[in-house]
Amino acid sequence: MTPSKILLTGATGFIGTRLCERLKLHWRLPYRALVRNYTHATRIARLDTEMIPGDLGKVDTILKALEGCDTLVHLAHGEDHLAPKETANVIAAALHAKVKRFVHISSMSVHGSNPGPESCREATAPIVRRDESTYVVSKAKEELLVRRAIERDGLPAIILRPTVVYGPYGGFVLAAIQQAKGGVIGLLDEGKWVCNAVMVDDVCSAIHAAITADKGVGQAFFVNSDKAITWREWNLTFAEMLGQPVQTVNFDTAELRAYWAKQRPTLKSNLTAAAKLVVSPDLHRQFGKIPAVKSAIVWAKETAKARMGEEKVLAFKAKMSPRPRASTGPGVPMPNPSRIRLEAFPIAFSNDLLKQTLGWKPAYDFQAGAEVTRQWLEFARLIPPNA
Amino acid sequence: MRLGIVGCGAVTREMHLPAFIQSPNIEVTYLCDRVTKNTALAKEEYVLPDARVTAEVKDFAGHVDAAVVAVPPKFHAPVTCELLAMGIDVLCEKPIALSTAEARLMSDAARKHGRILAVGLMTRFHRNTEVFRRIVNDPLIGEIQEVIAEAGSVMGWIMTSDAYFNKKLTLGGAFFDSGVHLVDRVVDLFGDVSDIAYEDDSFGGVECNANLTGKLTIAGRNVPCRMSFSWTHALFNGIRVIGSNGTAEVKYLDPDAIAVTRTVGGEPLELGVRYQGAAPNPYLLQIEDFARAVRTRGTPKVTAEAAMLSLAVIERAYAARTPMKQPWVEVNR
Repeated sequence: MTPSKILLTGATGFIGTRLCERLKLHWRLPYRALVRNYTHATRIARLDTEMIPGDLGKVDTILKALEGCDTLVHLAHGEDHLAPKETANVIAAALHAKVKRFVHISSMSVHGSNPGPESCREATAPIVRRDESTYVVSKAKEELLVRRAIERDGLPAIILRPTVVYGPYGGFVLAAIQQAKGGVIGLLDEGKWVCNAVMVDDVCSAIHAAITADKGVGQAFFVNSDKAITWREWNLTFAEMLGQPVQTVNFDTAELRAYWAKQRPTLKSNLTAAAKLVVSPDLHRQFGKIPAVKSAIVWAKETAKARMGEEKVLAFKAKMSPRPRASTGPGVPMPNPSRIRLEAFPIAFSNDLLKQTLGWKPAYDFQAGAEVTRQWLEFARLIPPNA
Repeated sequence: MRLGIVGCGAVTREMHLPAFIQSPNIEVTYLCDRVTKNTALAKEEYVLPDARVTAEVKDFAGHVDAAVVAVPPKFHAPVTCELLAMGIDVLCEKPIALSTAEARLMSDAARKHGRILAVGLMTRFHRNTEVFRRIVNDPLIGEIQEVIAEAGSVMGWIMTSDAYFNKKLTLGGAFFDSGVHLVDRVVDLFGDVSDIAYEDDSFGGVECNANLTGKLTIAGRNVPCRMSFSWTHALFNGIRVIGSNGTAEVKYLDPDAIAVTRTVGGEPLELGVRYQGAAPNPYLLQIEDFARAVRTRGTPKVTAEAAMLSLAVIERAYAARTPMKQPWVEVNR
């Protein structure tokens, strides 16, 4: 189909901005951007993008933005706890406006943080209901809402599940460069796990295919490159762009998971945290600004000292003082749970269904995509020139 | 001075009003904006219960001595000329107008009606401005070889509308709107820029990134200068003057400091100059300067004629515009 006009939510984000560029400069399709915060709209403003203010929390603003549009691309995902409700609003507005095509940008995350081999292909990949990540749960809920609208209300939707999207201005790239700037990068299990890196331009061309193709309505598709890489290749490729020697430090994923599992809140950890707060000198300093409270604090301290004795008070203080965490490598922060979910990923997603159904094919392998990204990194002065 | 404010959007509420309420010489008596929410917020946030509110500039008559114009650039000339004709002195936000022709009309109107017209190029009120002028004119860094000026950071300005981007309301982006400060500082230090080459990343909208190269005439010699502007990433945000014996540099984010690097006995040494005490608010210095000019019927620090010089550079740059190479954008696979 040829859309009369496309409404984009999330147009000022990483994928959305690149989609605006390609719609305007390459595919020359008319579009309108629903904008919540103009501060983020600088890059689409240079395209002379038609912008309309809107809030996905309010159906009437989405309906107004949809006037004259027969296609909607839903890219926005704000706060995890609000996103499903906002997606429900977008669906309601799209049904009311009787759009001809609804393209929902889901995520590979809907299959959970640690999917099994059955998730490699769309036909057998289950959508999770529970996960340790609020993002995963939120994205899964959104996709389920779209699927329900397809089945129950006949929403003419195509669902795309991009994998690890990278390219100029991409957050994953910026994180890799940031980490490497310290001269040392941490790898999980020597970086052996699967990185399903897909270039942002390939995601945009998949969206374009979903907008214009006559097939695929009601289906969900992975958007991935032809060949997955390892996280070692990912991290070292961007680190080397800095043109300086980089050291690697290895983390054992099983140990990391065990460590973070211990950090999960329990009754004991809550009580300990509360006790630490009560005896913290910072809290005393702040509350001490109130004269009456200051007197009470002084009284409590003196009473405790008199009853417990100086030695026991000092021992208690030492127990309650924050202790530095054991070092896990030279100058490398310990990977947090969200990084572990990302970089200890077990499977590669197939892009066969998208290729077969919509006739799409990725234009970039990782080397080609990284090279385009490098040109931008240099321009943005995030890496030295000619490094 | 009884002051009226035309335009109560972000720059008024975030920058001007916090300064105005600190000044014993200013009484904000009128707020004008077509968007009633903006005037209501200004009144509420800065506790101005006695300030009147209107959507029409003509209501200022008899109630204000002077006005600040902080509306989108397209309206600078018509609103300013209307106020001047009403006998009201004006401090107009930068850029003074969309074109030098408009700016000239404003300047002529001020002269015709015998009013003061100042322009809000507030970085001129940074404390390091005058010392920097003396340093770059001093033999300390030697003969000037090159001038580099940059202004860039990820856009973080709070926006209440699309006025920043709307080409019906403004002329450009990172170069025209924020970059005008930098161009003004360079022109104020060294005079006009000739042989201008200019490129930006616009595809029909307002530019996010721009580069300008040209020549300055310093002590009778042609000196190359280059300027860069960005709304997408950090640049060094200042002016660097490279001389035969050393380099002098000021930065926007540190308006109290000047850094000089000079080779002494073959060894590069860095000399720092720093003012003591808290930096004064440049918006406060600007409104005080305007109030002084109004009171004494004197000349404000930044006149319309002075502001026109940087606008003329911008105008010539846009006329010479070439598209910036952005291979990561242009690639179409």
